[in-house]
Formats: sequence, C-alpha cells, structure tokens
Amino acid sequence: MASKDVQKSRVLNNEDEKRLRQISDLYVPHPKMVHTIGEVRRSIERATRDRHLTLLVGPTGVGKTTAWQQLEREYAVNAAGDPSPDRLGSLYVRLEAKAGAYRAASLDRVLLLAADEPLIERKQILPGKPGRRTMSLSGTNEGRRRALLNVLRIRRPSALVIDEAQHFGYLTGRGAELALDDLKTLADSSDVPLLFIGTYAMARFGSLSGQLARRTNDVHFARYDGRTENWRAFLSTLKYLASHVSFAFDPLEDEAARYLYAGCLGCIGLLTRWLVRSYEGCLRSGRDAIRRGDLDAERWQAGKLARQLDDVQAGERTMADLEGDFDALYESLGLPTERQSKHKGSKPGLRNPVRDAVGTFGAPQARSA
Amino acid sequence: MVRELYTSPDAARSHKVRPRPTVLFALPPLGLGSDQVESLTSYVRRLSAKHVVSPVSLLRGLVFEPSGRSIDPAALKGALNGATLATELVVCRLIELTGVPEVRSCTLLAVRDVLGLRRGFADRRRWCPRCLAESEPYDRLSWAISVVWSCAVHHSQLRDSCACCGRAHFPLHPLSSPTACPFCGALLVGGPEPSRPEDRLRDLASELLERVQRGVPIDPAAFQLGIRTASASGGRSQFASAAGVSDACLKALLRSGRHRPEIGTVLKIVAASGQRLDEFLGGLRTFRSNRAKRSQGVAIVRGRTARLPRTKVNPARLQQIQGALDHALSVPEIETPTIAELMRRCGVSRELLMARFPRQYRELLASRHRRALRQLASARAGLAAALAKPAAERPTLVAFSHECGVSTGFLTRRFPQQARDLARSRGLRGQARIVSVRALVANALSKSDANRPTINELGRHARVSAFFIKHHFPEETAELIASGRRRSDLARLERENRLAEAIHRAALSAPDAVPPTLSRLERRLGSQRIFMNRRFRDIARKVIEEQLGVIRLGTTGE
Repeated sequence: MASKDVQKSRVLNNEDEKRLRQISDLYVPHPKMVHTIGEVRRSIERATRDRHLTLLVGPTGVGKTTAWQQLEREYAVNAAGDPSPDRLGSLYVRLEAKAGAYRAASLDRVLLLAADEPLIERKQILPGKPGRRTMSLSGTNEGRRRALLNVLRIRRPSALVIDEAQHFGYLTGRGAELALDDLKTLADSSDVPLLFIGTYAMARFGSLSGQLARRTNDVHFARYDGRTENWRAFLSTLKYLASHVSFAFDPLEDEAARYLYAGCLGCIGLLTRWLVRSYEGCLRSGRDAIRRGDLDAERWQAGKLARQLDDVQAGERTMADLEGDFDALYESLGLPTERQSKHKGSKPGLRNPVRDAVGTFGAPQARSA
Repeated sequence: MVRELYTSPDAARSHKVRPRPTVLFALPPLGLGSDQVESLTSYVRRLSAKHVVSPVSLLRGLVFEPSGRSIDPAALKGALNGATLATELVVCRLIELTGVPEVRSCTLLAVRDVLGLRRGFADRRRWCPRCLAESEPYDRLSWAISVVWSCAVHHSQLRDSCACCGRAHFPLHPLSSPTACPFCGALLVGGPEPSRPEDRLRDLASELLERVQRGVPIDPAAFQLGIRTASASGGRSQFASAAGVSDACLKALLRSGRHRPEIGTVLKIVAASGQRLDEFLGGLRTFRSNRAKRSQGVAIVRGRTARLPRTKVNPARLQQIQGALDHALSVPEIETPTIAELMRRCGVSRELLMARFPRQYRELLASRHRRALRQLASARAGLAAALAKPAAERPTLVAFSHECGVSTGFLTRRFPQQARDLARSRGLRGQARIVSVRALVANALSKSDANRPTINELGRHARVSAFFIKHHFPEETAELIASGRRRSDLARLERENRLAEAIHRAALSAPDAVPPTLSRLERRLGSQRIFMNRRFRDIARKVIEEQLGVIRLGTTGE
C-alpha cells in the first residue's frame, strides 16, 4: 500500500470527517451476516447446562465482531427494559496475545473490570468455618472468583463473550484446555452462556477433549466463495455499498466486481475497511467519488492476499473436516450406512427381474448357472 | 488482555437508550413494609457480602472517600440505623449506587423531624439466634433500639455477645458475617434463650416501626397532649419516675414543641401511660386497618386511599375511560402517559380511577416507577460522563438537565454530590475564563493605540460579553475605551485633513479661476452629496475662504 498523491493531499475538514465516520460506521446487513447473527442468537438462547459454549469462527475481517456488536445492542436494549437496574446486557472482553501459562486470576480480574465491579482489589472471603481465627484482609484470587460468580448470577448477562479467543491457543502446555475447562466451570456455576469469537485457529478448541466437543456449538461465519449463489450475494452487497459510497466507476460491472472480490477475498469486513481507506484518500485529494486508482493505492499486496487466502482455505478445510461425513462414522462404528440400508436386497419370494443386456450372451447363462 | 466494554463509538452513540447498570447490586431490603424490616447496618453487610468485600471497605471506598468525609466506618455504631448525618449520607449514596430507593426504609429517617434519633440505639450488635437460623438471616431494625431486649417473632431474649468467646462486636465489624462471630468464628444461631412473652416496650417498638414503614405521620402536639393526660392524675414527677425518664426531660417535652424526644423516651412514656401508641402519636384516622376502610367503600392503592364516588357514573363514560386506559397501557412504556396526564385527558378524578380501575391504576403507577428508575439510571450515567470531562468542558447543570430531559431540582435532589461538582466546575470554568481574558486584555493594552481592539472585538475574540470584560476589568476597560476615543479622534482629523487637501486641489484646478460652487466641487471630487455633511461643508468653506480669499456661495447645501 503506497499513497501516490502525497503532493495533493489536504487536511480533512469537519464535513469530510463526518462523512468518513458515517461510512466507517456503516453496518452492512449482507445475507451471511444476518444468517450468522440469527445462528448465534439461537445458540445463545438455546444454551443449556450441557451445551453452553458457542464458537463463532470465521476468517479475519469477515465481520464477526460486527455481528456480535449488533447482537449486543439487542441484549442491551432488553436489559434496559428490565425492571432491575443492575441488569447487565452482556459481558464482553477481548483477549490479547500473551504467551505463557494460563492464570485464571488475571481473567477473573479482566472480567470484573469489564463488569465495572467496584473495589476489585479489596475482595476478600470471610471465615467460612467455625474456629478459624485468622484471615487475610488483602485481595485474594478466591475472593475475585466468588465476586465474579456473584456478578454473573445477580446481573444475569445474556452472554459472556470473549473476542479474539484464538489467543487461548498460544498458551503453553495444556494451557488452552485448562483455560477452557475453567471457563466451562464458571459458565456451569453461573448458568451464563459462553461465546468465543475468533479465527479458524480456534476451530480445534471443540476437539481438545471429548467433553468439550460435546459441550460446544460451532457457528461458522464463512466468507463469500466463488460459488454462484455466493457471487450473487456478493454482488447484492456491493450494490448496497455503492448506494452509500460514491464510485467514479460502476462497481457492479463484471471486471470491477471481480477486482473488488479479489482484493477482499470475499470478506465484507475487509472490503468495507478497504473502501473506507480509499474514500479517505479520495477526500484528501479533494474528490468525492472513489476511482480505481484510490483502490489500487490502498489495497493489500497480492502476496499478502495469497497468504491470507491459504490460511482461510486451510481453515475452511478444517471446518469441513469437523463437519465430517456421517457415513464414514457409520462405517467406523460397523453399522450399515444410511444409503446401504435404503437399498436392501429383495425379500425372499419376490422377483427381481433384470433386463438382458442387448447383444451379450454370457450374462443369462451365468445367471442360470 | 484489554477491556473494551462501552468504549466503541457505537456504544457511546447509543448511550442514551442504554443506561449503564448500577454500580452495586440492586438488592431489595428484607422485611419491607413490616416491623421486621432490615436495619441499614445489616443491609450494608449483606450488600458487601454479595460484592465479596468487607462492609468497612465498601463504605470507605464507595461512600465516605468519594464524598470527601473522613469518617471511619469501623467506628460507626448502631446509631447509623437511626438518623445521624452519616445515616443520611450512607442512604443517599446507597440509593444512588444500587438504584433501590427502599434503602431509606432501613432507617428511621422518615421521622427524623419529630423524633431524636442520635441516641437510643445499641452500640453493639444484637440478634435473635432463632431468627438468624432462617434461610436468609438478617438483622432487624427493631433489634438496634436500645430499650428493646426481645424478638417480636420468637419472643426470645436478644443476645449481644458470642456464646462461645463471650465477646461483643460492632454491627459493621470488618470481619462480621450474619451468622458467625468475627473473633472466634462460632455460629451465632440456635441455642436456648430465655423467652419474654410479655414485653411492652418490644410491642410498642414494633408498632412504631410498622407506622413508620406505612408512612403514618407522628403528631408532636398529640404526644404532648398524651403526656399531659397521663401525668394529670399522679403528677409529673411521679409519672416521670414510673416511666424511667428524668423529670427535666418530661418538663422540656411539655414546655417546648421543638424539643424532639428520643425514641427510647417515647417508648418508655407510652409504656408507662398504659395507653395505645396511636393515641399518643396521633394519626388515628389513617391508622385504621385497610380491611375496615374497604368495608366502608374506600379503595386503597399503594397506601393511597380514595373514597368511592357516590354519584352514579354513566356506563358509556366508564367504557370511554376504560378504552383510554387500555390504550395508555398498550403503547410502548416510554409513551405511557402519567396518571395526571390521563386524568386531564379523560377529565376524571384520581379517586374515580383508583376506585373503578384499580388494576390499571396500579399498572400505570408501576410503569411510571420503571420509567423513573430508567431516567435515574440514565441521569446517573450522563452525570458520570460529564464529570469525567475536564472542568472547562463540563456542561452547566441547566444545560445538562436540558440534555437529559430532567429538571435541575431532580438532579440536585437525587445526585446532590454530582450536582455540586458540576456547579463547582462552573465556578472553576468562570475562574479559568477570567484568567484567560485577563491575558488577552493585558496583550491588548500592550499594543499601541492604533492596534488596540475595541471592547466588543476583544469580547468576540475571547468569547465573552463586553459586559463581562467591563465587570471584571473596569480599569483596563476605561483605558481601552480612552484609546478607542483617541483613535477615532485621530482618524477623524486625518479624514478631515485629507478632505481639505482634496478640496484645495479641486478648487485650485478650476479652469476659470473662479471659486467653485460647492456642487461643482462635489463633481470634481467625484463624490456626490459630500457637503450634505455640515462639518465637511464648513471645511470646504474654510478652505475656499483661506486659500482663495473669496466666498462664493453656491446653491448646494444652502
């Protein structure tokens, strides 16, 4: 990405910044987004004690966080309508990549911070057993965990959301498994559904252990691939974007659409960000409509896109593997597959007539033999 | 890991429709509306247990430190349940932090104007071991009153020390828990306690608490009259010794209506008189039981009463009102009218509504209450956001109240501390403005006369009114005005000189060497009607007279 029009660039005025903000805040309700929001909502609402972890998986820049923000707004409005003034719409935290061992205490602290819990450093447990004469007055990890449980039980958030959850995978040793087990215990005790948002690197979480696999519900937020129905949906999304952003050319024209598709790999979040950057460059040059040159200046390099596409395709293959083939499972279990059981042999006494092949003589003889 | 809640621009935009949840859990006090109401100390302890902090930490960190009070919460004793200054502070702050206005009912603040509530409360925590054995143990407000020594439910004697270690503790001891001794950890529940089935003071205290809970007023005049009647037969001193109070106290109570009796004194006097509490404290009419009222055709909704209208109401009219009520309850809650609006719109009285449509009336009240809570939460969040800004950028209280859609009275009543902070920031803003304007004025005065701005220009530049500058910098203003005058005088002189020179040149350049008329001069100067101005005309005359020695009067201007 290189800006070519350095000499021509000018400072944006308030009006420009306002327009830019409008476009960058634009919510694009494209078909996959709407479908994913519905799936996540259903998964959270139907979360039960034995299946409360939802994994929202998808490639970078596809719009996973945007989808959650839309849903979060719904939950916040619901919470605002609740007569209890301490009701929390949802609890959202974003993980940072941090290598090392997993520490439940730091996660508890972050979650308490996100819930605006007061006096986090002064949490303490009172003596539970008779006869215990001493106790520590300083903040304790145990105290913070209990406070977090109380927050979840009393404030009743609709979901506990952890964004960029693929970073759990960077934990050393059995860190990821421990972290997930810990969060599972938290969700179990408080009865609050968990939602992990992350890239395909997170797809393996569901298969870390059999128990986790049983309790996990995957929602795949896929990009628009090259299939016909997806291509049509991509074009309709482009049309929606073109109604909000001015282009100096027709973006729905075949070549332009293919160029835009290749530049974002079918991820609408990436496309929107690309358009916003291009529009900013365009405004800085004193123009009002995006030209092809603006897009060229701001697009990702082809090598980087190719690398990204490799990752995305590998992730899609992983998701397809997880989806699996049910017939293969039947075979592993030693059961006849569904197809086999449908095409059973004829019952005794029923005829099974077969037309003789024309021009061959061996077959009838063989049958009679 | 980073925290991202409410930091995205989307969240900031939708702030108005999304009030942030309260800082503390909205736990309702237990035993509300009865004599078994929870005490404030117990509520604080229960709330702090839910937040897993000690009561002392909670009060210090969220009540006293933010309000700038140097009160040690560990030293707070039973009087906190009465009506001390600390009580008022704790209650106001807790209502703000929890959004539960009922916290006020955990104290006797409602009768602070008629009863003295600083003394008469036990310093140590007292409890009924059988009450604490219940599923949700809590301390009753009645246990905190010094003269009460037995439980109103189990009639068992109250304990004030641990059966195991024999030590007593304050109600807000840092390690206190509802059911365990903070020193030895032994359970405080169970154990045989001597029963006191007859305890007049306990019964009177229960009755008094029930009155307070139901909002029945106490009439000091009736109390005085009660004392007079009771002491009439045997004499005041005798009655005082029978009641266990000093004669001086009784005398003071009889002499002045302004003297507020302590709660223990009231209970002792009423107990000694052998009369009923409501005969002593007044408010008999409102103290009748609800059932009796209903039998007499009185509707009661949430403590308010309404007598059924005697006149017969037209059924069609009733249907019309019913329709209006149904419509009011079917619209989204934010558009639901208040009861007063509905009364105005339908032309009905409150009594009719309460009597004929009690369900709808209750629902309207509840909806109003919910809206008020939401408004409270939104105002709280807005105030927090406003106070988070630097003092110079904070809105004024009036501007903020317009923005929130609430009155300034509402803000000062509900959020006194924040309103005070906003008002103070206005003062700070004013100070900052004076400082910045002073710098501008000094800068203006440092320039020469020709370059000095006028007061209005300076005001526009500093974004203050000219009056502001005149008011705060009178001497500098006088100087600026004087320099403005000097400048205008100078300009006038210059202008006149230029004109005189032009007239002179025009007069000399006359082709016929004849002194020109003023109208000719005008034409030569290329300026129409210049000599309509008397001063210029005088100048022209003077120039012609001086330079040419001749005055020829023309028609122009004459």
